[in-house]
Amino acid sequence: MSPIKILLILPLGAILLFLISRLRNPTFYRFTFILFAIVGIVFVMDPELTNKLAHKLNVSRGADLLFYFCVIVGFSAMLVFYSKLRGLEAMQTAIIREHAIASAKREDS
Amino acid sequence: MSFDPKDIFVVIPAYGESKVIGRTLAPLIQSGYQVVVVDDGSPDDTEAALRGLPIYYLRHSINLGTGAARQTGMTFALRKGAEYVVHFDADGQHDASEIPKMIEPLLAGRADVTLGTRFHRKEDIDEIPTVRKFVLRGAILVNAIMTGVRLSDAHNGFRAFNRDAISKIKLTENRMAYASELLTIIRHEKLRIEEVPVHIVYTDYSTTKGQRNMNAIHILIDLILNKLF
Repeated sequence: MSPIKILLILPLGAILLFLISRLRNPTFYRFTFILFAIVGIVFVMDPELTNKLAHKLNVSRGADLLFYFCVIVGFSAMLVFYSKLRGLEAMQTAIIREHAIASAKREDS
Repeated sequence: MSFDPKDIFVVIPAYGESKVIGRTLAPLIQSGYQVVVVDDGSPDDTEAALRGLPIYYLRHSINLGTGAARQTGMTFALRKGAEYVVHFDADGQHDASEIPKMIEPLLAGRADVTLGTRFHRKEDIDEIPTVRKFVLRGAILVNAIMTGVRLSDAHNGFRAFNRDAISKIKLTENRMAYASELLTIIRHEKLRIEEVPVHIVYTDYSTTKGQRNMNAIHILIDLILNKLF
Protein backbone atom coordinates (compact mmCIF):
# COMPACT_ATOMS: atom_id res chain seq x y z
CA MET A 1 0.00 0.00 0.00
CA SER A 2 1.42 3.36 -1.03
CA PRO A 3 2.04 6.11 1.58
CA ILE A 4 -0.67 8.37 0.10
CA LYS A 5 -3.24 5.62 0.54
CA ILE A 6 -2.28 5.28 4.21
CA LEU A 7 -2.42 9.06 4.68
CA LEU A 8 -5.92 9.22 3.20
CA ILE A 9 -7.32 6.11 4.84
CA LEU A 10 -6.17 7.01 8.35
CA PRO A 11 -8.34 10.17 8.75
CA LEU A 12 -11.26 8.54 6.96
CA GLY A 13 -10.98 5.52 9.22
CA ALA A 14 -10.80 7.78 12.28
CA ILE A 15 -13.96 9.62 11.19
CA LEU A 16 -15.67 6.28 10.61
CA LEU A 17 -14.75 5.02 14.09
CA PHE A 18 -15.87 8.30 15.66
CA LEU A 19 -19.24 8.17 13.90
CA ILE A 20 -19.79 4.50 14.81
CA SER A 21 -18.95 5.27 18.44
CA ARG A 22 -21.65 7.97 18.45
CA LEU A 23 -24.34 5.67 17.08
CA ARG A 24 -26.48 5.63 20.21
CA ASN A 25 -29.12 7.71 18.44
CA PRO A 26 -28.70 6.76 14.80
CA THR A 27 -30.03 9.34 12.43
CA PHE A 28 -30.22 9.54 8.71
CA TYR A 29 -27.44 12.10 8.29
CA ARG A 30 -25.04 10.14 10.49
CA PHE A 31 -25.53 7.01 8.40
CA THR A 32 -25.00 9.11 5.29
CA PHE A 33 -21.66 10.37 6.58
CA ILE A 34 -20.60 6.81 7.43
CA LEU A 35 -21.50 5.74 3.91
CA PHE A 36 -19.44 8.61 2.45
CA ALA A 37 -16.45 7.60 4.58
CA ILE A 38 -16.72 3.95 3.43
CA VAL A 39 -17.00 5.02 -0.21
CA GLY A 40 -13.95 7.27 0.30
CA ILE A 41 -11.91 4.36 1.70
CA VAL A 42 -12.96 2.07 -1.17
CA PHE A 43 -11.97 4.67 -3.75
CA VAL A 44 -8.59 5.20 -2.08
CA MET A 45 -7.95 1.42 -1.98
CA ASP A 46 -8.93 0.90 -5.58
CA PRO A 47 -8.55 4.12 -7.61
CA GLU A 48 -9.26 2.24 -10.84
CA LEU A 49 -12.80 1.68 -9.55
CA THR A 50 -13.55 5.40 -9.96
CA ASN A 51 -12.45 5.21 -13.61
CA LYS A 52 -14.65 2.16 -14.24
CA LEU A 53 -17.63 3.88 -12.57
CA ALA A 54 -16.95 7.12 -14.47
CA HIS A 55 -16.96 5.32 -17.82
CA LYS A 56 -20.25 3.61 -16.95
CA LEU A 57 -21.74 7.06 -16.19
CA ASN A 58 -20.28 8.63 -19.34
CA VAL A 59 -17.79 10.75 -17.42
CA SER A 60 -14.33 10.87 -19.01
CA ARG A 61 -12.20 10.39 -15.84
CA GLY A 62 -12.62 8.98 -12.36
CA ALA A 63 -11.14 12.19 -10.93
CA ASP A 64 -13.93 14.21 -12.53
CA LEU A 65 -16.53 11.87 -11.10
CA LEU A 66 -15.00 12.27 -7.64
CA PHE A 67 -15.03 16.04 -8.02
CA TYR A 68 -18.78 16.03 -8.89
CA PHE A 69 -19.37 13.68 -5.98
CA CYS A 70 -17.52 16.02 -3.61
CA VAL A 71 -19.51 19.04 -4.82
CA ILE A 72 -22.77 17.23 -4.05
CA VAL A 73 -21.54 16.01 -0.67
CA GLY A 74 -20.18 19.46 0.24
CA PHE A 75 -23.39 21.22 -0.71
CA SER A 76 -25.53 18.65 1.14
CA ALA A 77 -23.39 19.04 4.26
CA MET A 78 -23.77 22.82 4.03
CA LEU A 79 -27.55 22.51 3.89
CA VAL A 80 -27.63 20.14 6.85
CA PHE A 81 -25.50 22.50 8.91
CA TYR A 82 -27.55 25.54 7.87
CA SER A 83 -30.70 23.75 8.95
CA LYS A 84 -29.10 22.83 12.30
CA LEU A 85 -27.92 26.42 12.73
CA ARG A 86 -31.51 27.66 12.24
CA GLY A 87 -32.66 25.29 14.99
CA LEU A 88 -29.98 26.58 17.35
CA GLU A 89 -30.82 30.18 16.48
CA ALA A 90 -34.50 29.54 17.30
CA MET A 91 -33.52 28.08 20.66
CA GLN A 92 -31.22 31.03 21.43
CA THR A 93 -33.97 33.50 20.48
CA ALA A 94 -36.49 31.81 22.78
CA ILE A 95 -34.08 31.97 25.73
CA ILE A 96 -33.14 35.63 25.14
CA ARG A 97 -36.83 36.56 24.64
CA GLU A 98 -37.93 34.98 27.92
CA HIS A 99 -35.06 36.68 29.73
CA ALA A 100 -35.97 40.07 28.21
CA ILE A 101 -39.64 39.68 29.22
CA ALA A 102 -38.79 38.51 32.72
CA SER A 103 -36.47 41.51 33.23
CA ALA A 104 -38.81 44.14 31.75
CA LYS A 105 -38.50 47.51 33.50
CA ARG A 106 -40.98 50.31 34.03
CA GLU A 107 -39.81 53.33 35.96
CA ASP A 108 -43.17 54.63 37.14
CA SER A 109 -44.35 51.28 38.56
CA MET B 1 -64.90 55.59 17.42
CA SER B 2 -63.45 56.05 20.90
CA PHE B 3 -60.88 53.85 22.61
CA ASP B 4 -58.82 53.77 25.76
CA PRO B 5 -55.17 54.41 24.84
CA LYS B 6 -54.18 52.19 27.77
CA ASP B 7 -55.50 49.20 25.76
CA ILE B 8 -53.04 49.95 22.97
CA PHE B 9 -49.47 48.68 23.29
CA VAL B 10 -47.09 50.38 20.89
CA VAL B 11 -44.17 48.03 20.24
CA ILE B 12 -40.96 49.76 19.18
CA PRO B 13 -37.86 47.76 18.29
CA ALA B 14 -34.72 49.81 18.82
CA TYR B 15 -31.13 49.23 17.80
CA GLY B 16 -28.71 52.09 18.24
CA GLU B 17 -31.44 54.75 18.26
CA SER B 18 -30.37 56.69 21.35
CA LYS B 19 -30.14 59.98 19.41
CA VAL B 20 -33.73 60.01 18.16
CA ILE B 21 -35.79 57.64 20.29
CA GLY B 22 -36.73 60.27 22.92
CA ARG B 23 -38.26 62.44 20.19
CA THR B 24 -40.12 59.45 18.71
CA LEU B 25 -41.58 58.42 22.06
CA ALA B 26 -42.72 61.87 23.27
CA PRO B 27 -46.03 62.04 21.32
CA LEU B 28 -46.80 58.39 22.11
CA ILE B 29 -46.36 58.94 25.84
CA GLN B 30 -48.36 62.17 25.64
CA SER B 31 -51.24 60.31 23.98
CA GLY B 32 -51.32 57.80 26.85
CA TYR B 33 -50.39 54.67 24.91
CA GLN B 34 -48.57 51.80 26.59
CA VAL B 35 -45.14 52.07 25.04
CA VAL B 36 -42.97 48.95 24.85
CA VAL B 37 -39.40 49.54 23.70
CA VAL B 38 -37.46 46.39 22.84
CA ASP B 39 -33.77 47.30 22.86
CA ASP B 40 -32.27 44.75 20.50
CA GLY B 41 -28.84 44.61 22.11
CA SER B 42 -27.94 48.20 21.20
CA PRO B 43 -24.25 49.03 21.51
CA ASP B 44 -25.08 52.69 22.31
CA ASP B 45 -26.69 54.19 25.42
CA THR B 46 -30.32 53.62 24.37
CA GLU B 47 -31.23 52.57 27.92
CA ALA B 48 -29.85 55.83 29.33
CA ALA B 49 -31.82 57.83 26.75
CA LEU B 50 -35.03 56.20 28.01
CA ARG B 51 -34.38 56.49 31.73
CA GLY B 52 -37.23 58.09 33.66
CA LEU B 53 -39.79 57.69 30.89
CA PRO B 54 -43.10 55.94 31.70
CA ILE B 55 -42.51 53.06 29.30
CA TYR B 56 -41.80 49.35 29.39
CA TYR B 57 -38.15 48.71 28.59
CA LEU B 58 -37.06 45.25 27.47
CA ARG B 59 -33.57 44.37 26.36
CA HIS B 60 -32.23 41.50 24.27
CA SER B 61 -28.85 40.58 25.72
CA ILE B 62 -27.49 40.26 22.16
CA ASN B 63 -28.66 41.66 18.84
CA LEU B 64 -31.22 39.28 17.28
CA GLY B 65 -32.89 41.42 14.62
CA THR B 66 -35.98 43.53 14.14
CA GLY B 67 -38.32 40.56 13.62
CA ALA B 68 -37.23 38.97 16.90
CA ALA B 69 -37.61 42.30 18.73
CA ARG B 70 -41.16 42.78 17.40
CA GLN B 71 -42.14 39.26 18.47
CA THR B 72 -40.67 39.85 21.94
CA GLY B 73 -42.73 43.04 22.21
CA MET B 74 -45.90 41.29 21.03
CA THR B 75 -45.45 38.35 23.42
CA PHE B 76 -44.90 40.80 26.27
CA ALA B 77 -47.95 42.89 25.32
CA LEU B 78 -50.12 39.78 25.06
CA ARG B 79 -49.08 38.67 28.55
CA LYS B 80 -49.84 42.18 29.85
CA GLY B 81 -53.40 41.87 28.50
CA ALA B 82 -53.08 44.16 25.47
CA GLU B 83 -56.23 44.51 23.36
CA TYR B 84 -54.32 46.03 20.46
CA VAL B 85 -50.68 46.16 19.40
CA VAL B 86 -49.17 48.72 17.06
CA HIS B 87 -45.82 48.24 15.31
CA PHE B 88 -44.00 51.55 15.26
CA ASP B 89 -40.44 52.37 14.19
CA ALA B 90 -37.96 54.05 16.53
CA ASP B 91 -36.28 56.25 13.92
CA GLY B 92 -39.11 58.78 13.67
CA GLN B 93 -40.42 57.78 10.23
CA HIS B 94 -43.97 57.15 11.56
CA ASP B 95 -46.50 59.68 12.79
CA ALA B 96 -48.07 58.93 16.20
CA SER B 97 -51.19 60.94 15.28
CA GLU B 98 -52.01 58.26 12.66
CA ILE B 99 -52.43 55.49 15.25
CA PRO B 100 -56.21 56.09 15.77
CA LYS B 101 -56.65 55.71 12.01
CA MET B 102 -54.76 52.39 12.11
CA ILE B 103 -56.85 51.15 15.04
CA GLU B 104 -60.26 52.21 13.67
CA PRO B 105 -60.83 49.16 11.37
CA LEU B 106 -59.96 46.89 14.31
CA LEU B 107 -62.37 48.69 16.66
CA ALA B 108 -65.11 48.54 14.03
CA GLY B 109 -64.52 44.80 13.69
CA ARG B 110 -63.75 45.04 9.96
CA ALA B 111 -60.19 43.74 10.26
CA ASP B 112 -57.85 41.81 12.54
CA VAL B 113 -54.73 43.46 11.14
CA THR B 114 -54.18 46.86 9.54
CA LEU B 115 -51.14 47.54 7.39
CA GLY B 116 -49.88 51.01 6.59
CA THR B 117 -49.45 51.83 2.92
CA ARG B 118 -47.53 54.56 1.13
CA PHE B 119 -49.18 53.84 -2.20
CA HIS B 120 -52.81 54.93 -1.66
CA ARG B 121 -52.39 58.71 -1.78
CA LYS B 122 -50.59 60.66 -4.47
CA GLU B 123 -48.91 62.98 -1.96
CA ASP B 124 -47.40 59.97 -0.11
CA ILE B 125 -46.21 58.34 -3.35
CA ASP B 126 -44.55 61.58 -4.46
CA GLU B 127 -42.48 61.67 -1.27
CA ILE B 128 -40.90 58.24 -1.80
CA PRO B 129 -37.40 58.56 -3.27
CA THR B 130 -37.35 57.28 -6.88
CA VAL B 131 -34.92 54.39 -6.37
CA ARG B 132 -36.80 53.29 -3.29
CA LYS B 133 -40.09 53.41 -5.18
CA PHE B 134 -38.60 51.06 -7.79
CA VAL B 135 -37.27 48.66 -5.12
CA LEU B 136 -40.61 48.70 -3.29
CA ARG B 137 -42.54 47.87 -6.49
CA GLY B 138 -40.26 44.84 -6.93
CA ALA B 139 -40.71 43.85 -3.28
CA ILE B 140 -44.51 44.11 -3.62
CA LEU B 141 -44.38 41.66 -6.53
CA VAL B 142 -41.98 39.24 -4.77
CA ASN B 143 -44.14 39.35 -1.63
CA ALA B 144 -47.27 38.55 -3.63
CA ILE B 145 -45.55 35.56 -5.27
CA MET B 146 -43.91 34.23 -2.10
CA THR B 147 -46.76 34.82 0.37
CA GLY B 148 -49.88 34.83 -1.79
CA VAL B 149 -50.96 38.18 -0.29
CA ARG B 150 -51.21 41.04 -2.75
CA LEU B 151 -50.77 44.45 -1.13
CA SER B 152 -50.11 47.94 -2.39
CA ASP B 153 -47.00 48.35 -0.18
CA ALA B 154 -44.19 46.13 1.11
CA HIS B 155 -42.18 46.23 4.32
CA ASN B 156 -44.08 49.15 5.77
CA GLY B 157 -43.35 48.86 9.49
CA PHE B 158 -46.53 50.67 10.60
CA ARG B 159 -49.12 48.01 11.50
CA ALA B 160 -51.83 47.31 14.06
CA PHE B 161 -53.24 44.04 15.38
CA ASN B 162 -56.16 43.01 17.55
CA ARG B 163 -55.72 40.50 20.37
CA ASP B 164 -56.87 37.57 18.26
CA ALA B 165 -54.20 38.33 15.67
CA ILE B 166 -51.45 38.84 18.26
CA SER B 167 -52.18 35.47 19.83
CA LYS B 168 -51.95 33.74 16.44
CA ILE B 169 -48.80 35.42 15.17
CA LYS B 170 -45.53 33.72 16.12
CA LEU B 171 -42.68 35.20 14.12
CA THR B 172 -39.68 32.93 13.65
CA GLU B 173 -37.80 35.16 11.22
CA ASN B 174 -35.46 37.21 13.38
CA ARG B 175 -34.35 39.68 10.74
CA MET B 176 -36.02 41.71 7.97
CA ALA B 177 -37.72 38.69 6.36
CA TYR B 178 -40.19 38.72 9.28
CA ALA B 179 -42.37 41.09 7.23
CA SER B 180 -42.99 38.48 4.55
CA GLU B 181 -43.38 35.73 7.13
CA LEU B 182 -46.03 37.89 8.79
CA LEU B 183 -48.06 37.96 5.58
CA THR B 184 -47.78 34.18 5.24
CA ILE B 185 -49.11 33.78 8.80
CA ILE B 186 -51.92 36.27 8.13
CA ARG B 187 -52.95 34.24 5.09
CA HIS B 188 -52.57 30.90 6.86
CA GLU B 189 -54.58 32.04 9.90
CA LYS B 190 -57.20 33.69 7.65
CA LEU B 191 -56.83 37.02 9.46
CA ARG B 192 -58.75 39.91 7.90
CA ILE B 193 -56.53 42.72 6.68
CA GLU B 194 -57.13 46.31 5.68
CA GLU B 195 -54.59 48.71 4.25
CA VAL B 196 -54.54 52.20 5.74
CA PRO B 197 -52.82 55.15 4.02
CA VAL B 198 -49.97 56.46 6.18
CA HIS B 199 -47.36 59.13 5.79
CA ILE B 200 -43.71 58.04 6.03
CA VAL B 201 -41.10 60.64 6.85
CA TYR B 202 -37.89 60.11 4.88
CA THR B 203 -34.97 61.76 6.62
CA ASP B 204 -31.23 61.33 6.05
CA TYR B 205 -31.12 59.55 9.41
CA SER B 206 -33.89 57.03 8.68
CA THR B 207 -32.59 56.35 5.17
CA THR B 208 -29.12 55.55 6.51
CA LYS B 209 -30.44 53.54 9.44
CA GLY B 210 -33.21 51.30 8.30
CA GLN B 211 -34.48 52.06 4.85
CA ARG B 212 -31.45 51.04 2.80
CA ASN B 213 -32.26 49.62 -0.59
CA MET B 214 -29.72 46.82 -0.07
CA ASN B 215 -32.06 45.49 2.63
CA ALA B 216 -34.38 44.35 -0.17
CA ILE B 217 -31.68 41.99 -1.49
CA HIS B 218 -31.04 40.55 1.98
CA ILE B 219 -34.77 40.08 2.51
CA LEU B 220 -35.08 38.22 -0.79
CA ILE B 221 -32.17 35.87 0.07
CA ASP B 222 -33.67 35.23 3.54
CA LEU B 223 -37.05 34.51 1.97
CA ILE B 224 -35.67 31.96 -0.49
CA LEU B 225 -33.51 30.20 2.13
CA ASN B 226 -36.38 30.06 4.57
CA LYS B 227 -38.72 28.61 2.00
CA LEU B 228 -36.22 25.76 1.64
CA PHE B 229 -35.68 25.05 5.35
